[in-house]
Amino acid sequence: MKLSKEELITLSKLLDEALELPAEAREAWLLSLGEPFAARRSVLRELLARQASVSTHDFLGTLPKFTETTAGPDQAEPPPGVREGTIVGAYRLAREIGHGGMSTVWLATRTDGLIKRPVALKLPHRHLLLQQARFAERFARERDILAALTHPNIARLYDAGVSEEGQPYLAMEFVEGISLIAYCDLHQLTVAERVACFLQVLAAAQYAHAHLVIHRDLKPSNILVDATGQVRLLDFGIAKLLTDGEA
Amino acid sequence: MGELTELFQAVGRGDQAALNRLLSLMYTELQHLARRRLRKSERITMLDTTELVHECYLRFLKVGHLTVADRAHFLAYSARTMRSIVVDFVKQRRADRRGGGARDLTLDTDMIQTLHASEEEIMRVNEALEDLSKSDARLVQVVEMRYFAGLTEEEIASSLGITDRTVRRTWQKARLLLGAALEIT
Repeated sequence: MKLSKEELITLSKLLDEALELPAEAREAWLLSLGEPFAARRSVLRELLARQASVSTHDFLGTLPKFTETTAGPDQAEPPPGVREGTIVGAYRLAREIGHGGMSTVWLATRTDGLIKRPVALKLPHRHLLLQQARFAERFARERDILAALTHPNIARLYDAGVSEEGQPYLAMEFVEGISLIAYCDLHQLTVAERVACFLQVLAAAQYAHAHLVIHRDLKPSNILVDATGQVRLLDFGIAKLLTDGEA
Repeated sequence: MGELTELFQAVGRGDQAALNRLLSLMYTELQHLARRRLRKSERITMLDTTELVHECYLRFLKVGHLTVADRAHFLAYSARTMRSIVVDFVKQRRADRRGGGARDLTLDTDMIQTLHASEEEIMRVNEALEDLSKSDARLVQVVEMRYFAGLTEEEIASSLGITDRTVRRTWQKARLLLGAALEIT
């Protein structure tokens, strides 16, 4: 609830009157207020009492400063023992390509050469995973559903599992691209071109929905566009995979 | 005579189209300056609106859009523009958090709360000013100039053509009133 417009306007007018008066005359003025203003009496009394402190205090003196870090890599804890060359499951980490509050993403290659191209290996922060005991089983089930999604506008999920050290991982198609918004800005796309991009997003979502998978975390930063203008949706259904169905 | 000087005169004659043109010119310039500043300090984003307003004034002066005699008009309109820039900025950030920029936020809850409190204050002040825009135009102007543009009492007084004392009174009343508006949750 907030002070209604009418209330604010009424208070403003009453304060005009009250502030004209010397302090000692204000109580009498308050008591003389007839209906419908009598109801405001206690609020006004309190505000007037505050006048002395407000005039010395810095309340609203300056616009609050916004401070916000634009990236959180320093605050988020990296999974212990994860660095270049570390083996996670069947993958060898090459270099870190992303880092967020939920997980770290590495460019990685398969140690057994089964997939030649590098993959994006997503390593969820372990403390975020609920019910560790049931996790692996559930993870495997969801993985199979997500891995079945094949669409030109959806980054493939190749594999997912839990390493011997207990680190869950998701191996996804590595998309070399930039986020949808950055792409549109950079190329100063016309409205028609933007709509064309969006249609690709819709095509991907429609395909996934037809397979009974919903994204659960669709946002511009999860949508990359590669150099050829092809749109890819990342992290399809991953939100559910990581939060044990509670997302 | 500079472009803005002409616009100020047209606005003075009650020309609505000139007012729109004036505000959009200022918006573009102030926003441009704000963006450039935000880019410079990549990690910590701080918007020093007072500096922005003065920087903008100097730029308009330099390219001949303004004369020194327009300073008073300029300050009043720039404060109004600054208010919409700041409010748009907060709205944009909120939208980014719901969508685009969400993964860039840290999980430092203390910081998020401070952040939200600042944004909440700005949005509430803005709403209260909207409510008072018809009944108390002067108060709205003083708050825009003081709170959103960080101008001094002297600058406000000379630009609105009122005494320092009236500015102080109006500001004091505004703080009482906005204090009440911010408190009730």
